[in-house]
Amino acid sequence: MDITINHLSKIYRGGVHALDDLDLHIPSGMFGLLGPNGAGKTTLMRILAGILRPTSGTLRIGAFDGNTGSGRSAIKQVLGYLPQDLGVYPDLSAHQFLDYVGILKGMNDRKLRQKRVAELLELVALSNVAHRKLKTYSGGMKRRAGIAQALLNDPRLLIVDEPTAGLDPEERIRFRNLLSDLGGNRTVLLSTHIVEDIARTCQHLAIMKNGCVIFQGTTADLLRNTRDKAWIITTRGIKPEGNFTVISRLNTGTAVKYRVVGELSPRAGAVAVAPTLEDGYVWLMREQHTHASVILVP
Amino acid sequence: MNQFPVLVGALRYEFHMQFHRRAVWITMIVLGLLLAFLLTRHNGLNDVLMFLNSPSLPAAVAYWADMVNFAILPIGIGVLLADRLPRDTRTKVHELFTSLPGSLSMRLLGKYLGSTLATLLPMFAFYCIGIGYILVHTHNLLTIPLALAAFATIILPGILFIGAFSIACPAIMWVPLYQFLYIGYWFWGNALFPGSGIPTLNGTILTPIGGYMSLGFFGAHFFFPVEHATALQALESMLLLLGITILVISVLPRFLEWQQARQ
Repeated sequence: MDITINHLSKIYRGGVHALDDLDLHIPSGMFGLLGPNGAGKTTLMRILAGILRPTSGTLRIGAFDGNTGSGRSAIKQVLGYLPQDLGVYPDLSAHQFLDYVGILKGMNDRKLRQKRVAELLELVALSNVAHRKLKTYSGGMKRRAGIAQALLNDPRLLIVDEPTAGLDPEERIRFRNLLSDLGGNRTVLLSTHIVEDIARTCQHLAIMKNGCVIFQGTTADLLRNTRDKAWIITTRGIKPEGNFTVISRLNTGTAVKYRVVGELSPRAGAVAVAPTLEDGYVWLMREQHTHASVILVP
Repeated sequence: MNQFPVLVGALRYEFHMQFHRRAVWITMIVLGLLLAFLLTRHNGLNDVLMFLNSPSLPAAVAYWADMVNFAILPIGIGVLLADRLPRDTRTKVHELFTSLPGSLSMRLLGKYLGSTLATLLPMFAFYCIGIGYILVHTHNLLTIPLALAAFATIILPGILFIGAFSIACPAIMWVPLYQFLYIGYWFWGNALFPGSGIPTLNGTILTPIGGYMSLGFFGAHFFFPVEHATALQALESMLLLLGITILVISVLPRFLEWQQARQ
């Protein structure tokens, strides 16, 4: 289920331009949406989920026109949405909450619905606590209940907004693996500011900044863009000077290794390394900062 | 998509959540005890029993329905319902539910009916105490259908009326402000007698305490400034209250959709 977005803008009351003439094409499969806080990712997710209306522009999800009421209703039938800030009724159990969401998703057959709820609670490893109230759940458990509710109607489009924010490393890995398994024959749009989540799960991605898409392509494209831009500079501890951004600093005891991204000539103590997606992201943000009008869309 | 199951599901779960809410039972029990104290203190227990021992069974049932519906318990109901809609924003459930295909109007109708019926239960239990007394005193099984009819015509329309406003008004105002204004409205519109110098809804067919229904259908009233009412006037009052209720509950989802579209 492809998503095509043309000239999409969203201006909130008060004049905040959350999206600015955004163009984006999202193919089927896992798709990552990366960007700093305030880039407009959540606004875009909310528009795709039918929660917000765009100020202007067009939006097509599969055969459905997201600009019309009937189109939005049709999209909601095939949509699974995990919001950034998932809300639950604290006094309901996970089983009850999922059952309620299932009813609101049009799953009218009680037996089938409850069977599906049980299957999903098993999938997200919440079967043992399914009848406990949601207010007793940890953040990670609530997130898993959240992904379970998003999958109730076996959606063709799954939108997950910052799904691993606040989770411990083990929970994050579990979540990423779950999302990767889901990407098979549906469109999964993963919005996050954690580069590692995209690197581990998505082949295609877009990067947003200030309400615009500044990059769309594959992770390989982004890495190719960053070739010869990632370096390790080893010093005795003094921070190196130059036209680059420091990604990380590792103190080995005898020396300090700085991983940097920038235009460097080979120099003493500087070794070119294969770039990671994080390097590619930082490089792109640097380029955007320097050449604000540059839009890289291979 | 068939939206009727959305209504039934929302009604069921909203009833469940409100029924299990401790604050509802604690508040209504305290208010019930306060009502019992006020009734017996002001009129004396003997006076109350005098009404319940009325030789006319319909009158006895109507007196009791009027007493239960008169002041404090409906205040509790309105106050306890006022946070049901803002709760969806507070718990952040609103965003997720807006992305679901279940229609907002059915979901809100289910929320309104489920929450109101659950909050009404303690009042119904209190009502049953007096009806139980009448039943034991008269040994007349007709008490039960009369009691149900009295509850449905004297108490229920007013409760549905205030329930609708209690669900809807917090969409446009702060909940504590609504609760404060609502308590003021209840005393102004139901306890203040005409002729006191301050205009009041009391004694009009808009009064939700059911005075016209009590007089018009059962021939008796307790603390109502109108002496005579016909069955037609009673029907008018009931239909007006229910009509306004339907209007409020119909407008609410349109208003919320308009608000959402403006974001």
